[in-house]
Amino acid sequence: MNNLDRRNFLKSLGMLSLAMVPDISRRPIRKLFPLLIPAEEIIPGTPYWYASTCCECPARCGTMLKVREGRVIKIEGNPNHPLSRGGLCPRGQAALQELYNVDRIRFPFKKIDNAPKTKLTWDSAINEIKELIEVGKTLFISGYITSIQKSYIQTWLGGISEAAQLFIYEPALRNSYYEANRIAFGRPDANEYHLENADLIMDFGAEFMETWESPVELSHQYSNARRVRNENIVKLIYVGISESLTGTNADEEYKIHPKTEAVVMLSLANWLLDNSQKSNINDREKSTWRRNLQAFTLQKASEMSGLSIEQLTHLGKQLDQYPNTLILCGDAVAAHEQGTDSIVAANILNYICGSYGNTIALKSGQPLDAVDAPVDFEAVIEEILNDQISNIIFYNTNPFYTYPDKERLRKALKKVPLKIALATTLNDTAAMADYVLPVHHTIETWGVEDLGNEDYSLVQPGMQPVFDSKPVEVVLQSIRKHTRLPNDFEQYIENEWQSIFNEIGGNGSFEKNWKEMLLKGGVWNRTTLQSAQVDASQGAFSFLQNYELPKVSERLTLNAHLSHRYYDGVGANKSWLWELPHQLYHYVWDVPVRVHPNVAREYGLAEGEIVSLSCNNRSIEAPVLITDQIHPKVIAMELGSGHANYGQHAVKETGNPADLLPLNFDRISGDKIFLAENVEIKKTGKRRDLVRLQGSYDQGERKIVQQISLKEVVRLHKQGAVREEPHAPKIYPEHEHEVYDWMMVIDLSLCTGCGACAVACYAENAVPVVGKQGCKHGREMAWLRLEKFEVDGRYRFIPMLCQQCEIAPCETVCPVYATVHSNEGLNIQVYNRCVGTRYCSNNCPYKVRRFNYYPTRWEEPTNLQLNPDIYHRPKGVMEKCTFCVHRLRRAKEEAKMQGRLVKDGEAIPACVQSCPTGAMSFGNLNNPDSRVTKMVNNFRGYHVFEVLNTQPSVLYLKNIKHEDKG
Amino acid sequence: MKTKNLPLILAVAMIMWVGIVIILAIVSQKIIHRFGPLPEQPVEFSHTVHVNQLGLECLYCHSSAEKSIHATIPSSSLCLDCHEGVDMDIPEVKKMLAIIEEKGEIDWERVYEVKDHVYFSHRVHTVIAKIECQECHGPVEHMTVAIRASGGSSDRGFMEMGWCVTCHERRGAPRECITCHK
Repeated sequence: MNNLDRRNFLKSLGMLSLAMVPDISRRPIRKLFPLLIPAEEIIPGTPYWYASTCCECPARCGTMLKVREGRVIKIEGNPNHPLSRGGLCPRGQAALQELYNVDRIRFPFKKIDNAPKTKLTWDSAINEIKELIEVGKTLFISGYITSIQKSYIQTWLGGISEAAQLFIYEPALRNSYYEANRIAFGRPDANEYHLENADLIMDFGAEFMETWESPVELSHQYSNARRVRNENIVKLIYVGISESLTGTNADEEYKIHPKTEAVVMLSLANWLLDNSQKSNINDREKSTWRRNLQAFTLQKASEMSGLSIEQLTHLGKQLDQYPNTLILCGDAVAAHEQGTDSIVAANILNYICGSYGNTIALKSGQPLDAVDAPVDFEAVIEEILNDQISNIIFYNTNPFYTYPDKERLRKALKKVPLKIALATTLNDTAAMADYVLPVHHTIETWGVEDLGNEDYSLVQPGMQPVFDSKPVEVVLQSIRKHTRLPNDFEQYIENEWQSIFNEIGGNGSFEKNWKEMLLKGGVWNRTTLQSAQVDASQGAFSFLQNYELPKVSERLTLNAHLSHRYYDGVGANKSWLWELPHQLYHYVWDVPVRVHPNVAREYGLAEGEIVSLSCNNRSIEAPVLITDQIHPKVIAMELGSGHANYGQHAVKETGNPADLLPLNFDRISGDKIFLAENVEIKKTGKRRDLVRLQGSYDQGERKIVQQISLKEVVRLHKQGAVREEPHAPKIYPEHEHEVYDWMMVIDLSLCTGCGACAVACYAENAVPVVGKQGCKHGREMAWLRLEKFEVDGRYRFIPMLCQQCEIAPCETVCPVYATVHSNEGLNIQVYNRCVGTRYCSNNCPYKVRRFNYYPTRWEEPTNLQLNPDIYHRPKGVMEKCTFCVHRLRRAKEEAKMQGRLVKDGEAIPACVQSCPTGAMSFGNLNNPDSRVTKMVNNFRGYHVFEVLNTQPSVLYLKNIKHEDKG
Repeated sequence: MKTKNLPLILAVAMIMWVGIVIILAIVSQKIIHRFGPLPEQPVEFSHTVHVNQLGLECLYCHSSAEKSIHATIPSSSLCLDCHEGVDMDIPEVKKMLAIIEEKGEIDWERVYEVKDHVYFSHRVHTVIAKIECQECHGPVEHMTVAIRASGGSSDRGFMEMGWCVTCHERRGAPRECITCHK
């Protein structure tokens, strides 16, 4: 202090403080980057749409890719496409998570045996492979590809050597349908279904709402038949071995003993001949049919299937009573040695009911060998084991997950000197390859998908590749140049379209058509039913004469079925799908084995207990879930868990049910079997709690899901009844909605509970994924959830999202006005205002507000998927659905620029857009022409918890309960 | 007495100085916040030369201001449209050409920025509300390098919510939270 005089002290203080001033005010400097390629029509900040095709499952629905600032941020269904019609299933929407997967292969690499992974450049990788591939026979194992890519690969393989072989390994696809049509009608064609024409669908295990054939298309057709027309709606009867989404949606559900469905169908056919006037068959033929079907009595069917004679007679009467019937058969029910027989039986029943030409037809022009039969894969493995194959190329397939005997396959692969994987992410199979080459995801590449019947769907890239990948065709051409294949890949695609254009005889110039096609997404002409003259007389009779009754196991049968969320396991690396609760049991991040209470009692099992299942000398472990919806002799487990290597989201602690499946095949078609007979259950003493996001399916007196009978609907409709708004006292001043008054109407009669809306919400609003622990603590973030409740002994689904109450309980308790009512009827959450008291959530009767307990990390490259129109909520902030207010805002802005109001259908939330069945409608109540204005007075309408007088902006329409006439 | 009171005087002086420093800091913070620190652009692009002397429209370069939410800055190809032949001997133009030669694009420093939770659409303000660029961005035509400056009448913090709301109030524009808050 003594050395420092006053003057110096002040001077230094001044200096110090001045030096501090600019430091306080420094802002982080952010750089502006101009758009590198100033394409004249591309404006930053504006979304663009590209028509493409989804390749997540073999159905090939048309998609629209939403592109912002050069990256795809969302996938929606193409409204013009004959398969998707605007909707898209959860798996299709989650394709984005494959594109932006943290585990995407970022560069070519080499990993030989146990040596460490070596990064390669494309040039060095190709050069190394080029030399190695010259020796020996090459085998190309691919997932499902359609005609054009298939012929490309075949031509290319022809250039390698004469003996080179292409094998399409897609175990979920079945050739049984072609075979069954060949047997019954002498035509090896595919089926074409028209559910919309039916008034009775008898479904033997075909999960057409989840995985069977083309779920989006068939759900759409079903929903059309479920709308009231001529005082009627379609009736769905499900006969299966275990429970499913389709079964739960059915009006009547029966569980039969595994493998007995053919006998049930044939006995019903037999019954119909004697007891029905409706039969399609003339009297002359009738006696022949009778002779051939006489062995199949209801008695016999009852003994085998476990259904009572009364139940079978009831089914027969149902088929008799309804004029337009459709019998479906498929999926796990028909995935046994005699599966093709079951489908022939379904054909016969359809024939006798006169369904052909009405609700079902044969498609011409579909190639018989669409996929190679899995039985032939055995021969391929045998060939490998005999050292006949020196090079294998895997593309877009994962036999190492679905093939049961892993040891055999591993032994075989060890013998192959050169294994190349062309993949987007490292899966079980690609992880065993010597060379792994990253290829484009569907969203990054060009292609043509053959839909059959001269319909073609375009695969169009929405963006530049995320990583250093190449189209598979380009990789192949660079490994070995084939002179007949063009060098320029895009030119090749255009040439292919040119030939399609010539084939279908298009009008006008090709250039003009090509441009139109780029906008439209393909060429199709799917309007009329194919001519339906089928003749069952010869084939069916010889089939019936030689029919051998299936050997039925009295012990437990495992149904390892395709999953609604993971398909054959391919979806297991996507976090949205793991966090989407199972449709029926609401479990997340695990796959339990579902058992009947009888089985649980017999073995002394409780939910969450881990059991060891063994069959065919292989065993797996899985937690138990007890349900009375399953046949007592069946245990069921969906495919999706137990990946050896499939990225960070795959669930590894539960085993892979495919391991237990037998190594024999469908006797006729050679299809894969998904039923494992004589499974043994052993307790392990361990347990792992299942995380289930809905605790109870009993709604008590709360009337969340309401139902009305068809008769009542018809009666009220005739009366011209309208919904009456309940009289309630008005305590608060009413809100005024001068221009827009947004309203959502959800028809519970059409909702199948598929969960497309929930995934669409995740994709659109960057809803964080919290993982298993987070869900266990009740901290899941889904803004929209699908609840299941019991009504009149059947289960129904209800999408539960923010109800946008007019008198919102949340608004009155927020201390900081973070949640307020907008003049358009929305309940707004101002995120940066929220301080996280959670009072609003406590006061919300619908429990649709979600609190950010965890900070959200968007690992590169998942951050590229985030919607720039959305604010990414930090930890400690409440978030919720606001009817996709950014979509509304943009539509309003677009309309305002044109000096008008938003037209009906221009502004819709993501959930409404994605719904495959059109169960959700959205619009402006102030617009007299909008769909919701017409629906809002529907006598079926009700609000959930109407008694609370919250006056929600979501109106539910009561489910229509089907009733038989008479 | 003089030495006796020295610690007291020193203490009072210190407290006063700390107070003055804090006031200074706040004032300078306000000033800097209002106009922003002078951005250090890689090239001293002169708005006044291009607008006042050459008569270019704002939209010539910021071409999306009437079409999109972003006004956008042009890519270097637009600069080269003229400067591949014109005024190539001016030092700053030389500098610019060298940068483009080297990197292909110029890394401009951001001058204006709205927060992540704000939705701001240029086209609504320019086309529908017919607001001149200068009203928010100040007399850019008199600036060389653009600096943050408000031509608005409000005293509230520039580019802060109050500043926006004052104008919305004055013009009768919507004042719903959700108009701007994402």
